[in-house]
Amino acid sequence: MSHQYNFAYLDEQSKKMIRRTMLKAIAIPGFQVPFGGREMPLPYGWGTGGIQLTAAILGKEDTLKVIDQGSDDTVNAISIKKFFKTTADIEVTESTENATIIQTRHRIPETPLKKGQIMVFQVPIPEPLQFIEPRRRETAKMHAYQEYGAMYVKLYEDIATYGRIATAFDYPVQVNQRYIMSPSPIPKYDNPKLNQSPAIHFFGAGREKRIYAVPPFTDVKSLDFEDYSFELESWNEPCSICGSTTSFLDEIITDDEGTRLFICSDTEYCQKRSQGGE
Amino acid sequence: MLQGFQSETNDSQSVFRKLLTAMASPGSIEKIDLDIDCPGNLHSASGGILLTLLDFETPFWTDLDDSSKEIQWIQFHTSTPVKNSATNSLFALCTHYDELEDPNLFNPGTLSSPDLSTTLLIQTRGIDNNGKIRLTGPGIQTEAYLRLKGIKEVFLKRRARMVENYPQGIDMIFICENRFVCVPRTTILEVF
Amino acid sequence: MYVAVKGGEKAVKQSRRLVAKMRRGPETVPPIRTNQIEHQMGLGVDRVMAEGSLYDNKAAATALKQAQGDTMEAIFLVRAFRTTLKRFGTSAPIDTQDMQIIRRISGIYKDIPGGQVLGPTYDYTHRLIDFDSDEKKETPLKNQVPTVDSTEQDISPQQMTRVIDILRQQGLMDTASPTTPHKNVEDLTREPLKLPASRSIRLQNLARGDEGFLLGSAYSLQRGFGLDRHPFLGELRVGYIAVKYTPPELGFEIIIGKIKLTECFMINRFDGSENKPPGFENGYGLVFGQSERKAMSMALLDKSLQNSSNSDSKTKYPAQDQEFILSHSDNVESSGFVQHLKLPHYVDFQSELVFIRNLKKEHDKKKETCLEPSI
Repeated sequence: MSHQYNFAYLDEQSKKMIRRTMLKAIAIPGFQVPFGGREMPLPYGWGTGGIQLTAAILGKEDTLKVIDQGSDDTVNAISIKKFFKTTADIEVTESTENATIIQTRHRIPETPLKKGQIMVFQVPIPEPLQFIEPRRRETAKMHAYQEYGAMYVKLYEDIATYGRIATAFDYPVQVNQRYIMSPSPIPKYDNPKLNQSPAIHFFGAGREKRIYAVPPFTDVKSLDFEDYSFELESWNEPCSICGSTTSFLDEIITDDEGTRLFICSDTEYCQKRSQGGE
Repeated sequence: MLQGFQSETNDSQSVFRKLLTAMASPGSIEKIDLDIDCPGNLHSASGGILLTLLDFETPFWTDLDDSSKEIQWIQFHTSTPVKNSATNSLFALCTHYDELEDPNLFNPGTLSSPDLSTTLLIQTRGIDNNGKIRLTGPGIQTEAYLRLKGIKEVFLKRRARMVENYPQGIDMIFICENRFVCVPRTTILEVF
Repeated sequence: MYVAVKGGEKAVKQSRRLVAKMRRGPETVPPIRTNQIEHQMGLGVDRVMAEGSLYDNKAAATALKQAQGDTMEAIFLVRAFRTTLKRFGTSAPIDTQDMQIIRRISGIYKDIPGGQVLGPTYDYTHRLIDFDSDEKKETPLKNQVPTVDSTEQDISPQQMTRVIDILRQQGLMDTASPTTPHKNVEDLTREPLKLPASRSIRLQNLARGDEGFLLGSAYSLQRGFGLDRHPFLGELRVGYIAVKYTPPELGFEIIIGKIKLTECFMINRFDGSENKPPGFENGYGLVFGQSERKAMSMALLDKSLQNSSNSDSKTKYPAQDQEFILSHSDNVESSGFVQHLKLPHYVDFQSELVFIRNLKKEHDKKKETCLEPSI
């Protein structure tokens, strides 16, 4: 049975519904807007939320970049890129600079984003309070009344136990002084890139059927305390390919003795630097 | 019946992108470059936006006559359920901008579901950035200025006070012919 | 050197080729035909249709073939196909009184009007693997056993009163408020799950929920994690029913097809309260195809969730908890999320490494200072 799929796979009715949700999400920064998420031909957990957002945004003129863990060539990034190439026949790129839409899992590129660019994040668990309170009816109330005490108690307990906040990725932020939001499982290293960013940031959780957003030039603050401020990861060595000392590094084990090597997680950035001879 | 979009897929996508840009940058004026022939008093930006967003799931209110050709056109192309109460609408269209006084007549959503609110389209006599309405807030790097010709000051003043109820609120789209500008609920309004 | 830097595209392509090869198996064995699956693995097809939420034997059989018999993978294929289908209207509600019965039993009466109809069931077979089944000559069964199946054209409904209606006549069971089928039935597949969920949404969720999850949850109720009394099987019926639809352009009702369903009523004793006289209560299950295990589990859970939906108070056991059951019943969701851990997470793990190394450094330092002799 042959079956003709619509441009970017989703039918127009579904796109309409997702687009309405996206506009609400932009108007209420950091608030998780429920939407009638559709089943996609890729499994939940593989980026169905992000794919639905990209499908709703995408037009013929767009240039799409897809990354997973910062890399353009990881298997899932390849698979998603291929999906849109087949269903929408659009330009794809590895260049952060040339992309109009960047779908990502777990990273924000090192190259600064520009006005007009749209970031689409794949989100596994949209609820930042989930591990404090798994019941959605309860967390909905906490967001409604801005009752975020439990979150601060948890962070404070970390400090009491470990001398620091123990969250290393998916580090919660507060958006526009109102909603506490999950930035998706990006390393906390990437959190500051969200603050007052000129780009639009969309977050899509397919399985949990939630969409949320951060408009450009919006305050995004990583939660912390006056005496224990938010800290970033740092490395003692530079990237062994491009020599960058300012990018997020992956650790590669090169032999059975556990010899380690550090290289940029953002492969396009690394390549550009090493080719440009910086 | 006048035609709607030439290509539903392409036209609605292009209108949506303009809308997204505008909603993400309050105060910045966007233009719809579509050859869309709207009936009667319906501005082409209104027509384009309504066709892009409405369907049978979106209760819609307007100050136009129930039997008007504008409503017939909108319903023909979107199957939207037309309501006679502004409070129950998810989308609303005001064409009599000079009668508009109270934004509180529309649905601001609830504290736990602020998204279930009215998105309000208002047709005006003119929009430009040379006015005395100062905008600040998310999406605006420093500040923006706006002139909305024909919109009553009392309406703007009431809207300015609505930020106190955030996250409840009304997201507004001011329209003149094929141009439009967004003022979402987060935008802080000062009228000089 | 393992660096997931280049080669992803090639690897994906190669993996797809390998899966196609594995699916086909040795070429000395003839390929299986989808119609063989459809007609000889009918219960498997039924499950794929039920949890795939699409009554389409052909699609389900093809999906099973494509998935090498992996039921959940087949369900996922059907779901992804289903979302792309255009809706053109809502069929009329079915009345299972009109079901063309192939099997119908009740556990609470010895005999019932219309009789107990054992029909096709594995219940009284002896589970001995028939290793010779390939060698056996087929004896034509058609003349020995009367059958009803979907290929038979006319439906001659033989009205069988539901057992539950008999209890209702006697005033021992709540009369079901004949919910007038309103035009806009909520649709779980178009809107996000809202909690608390209406019964209609709960039943939709359970009907497409994972059979194993429903079974285990219902079992937990029976073992005291939610039920304090033995439930009874009021009635279980399996059969075919016509689906009717009124196309707006015709203006009158037509039959658009015939579907096989399993329906179940579970019955619990109710000792009465201030507002409600003593009697019996019921839970309801309805599933595409023949799936008695699933329909019974669904009915037990329906009852359990009805009890807990009224109060805001926290429920004691998982199978009484709407949010717990409804959020975890879908196997396309759960299978995806559990298995997404196979995707690379090395960036997040790097953050964890940095954190743990720092923590360990401090830990070791503290230990050293503790060991220093005190004066």
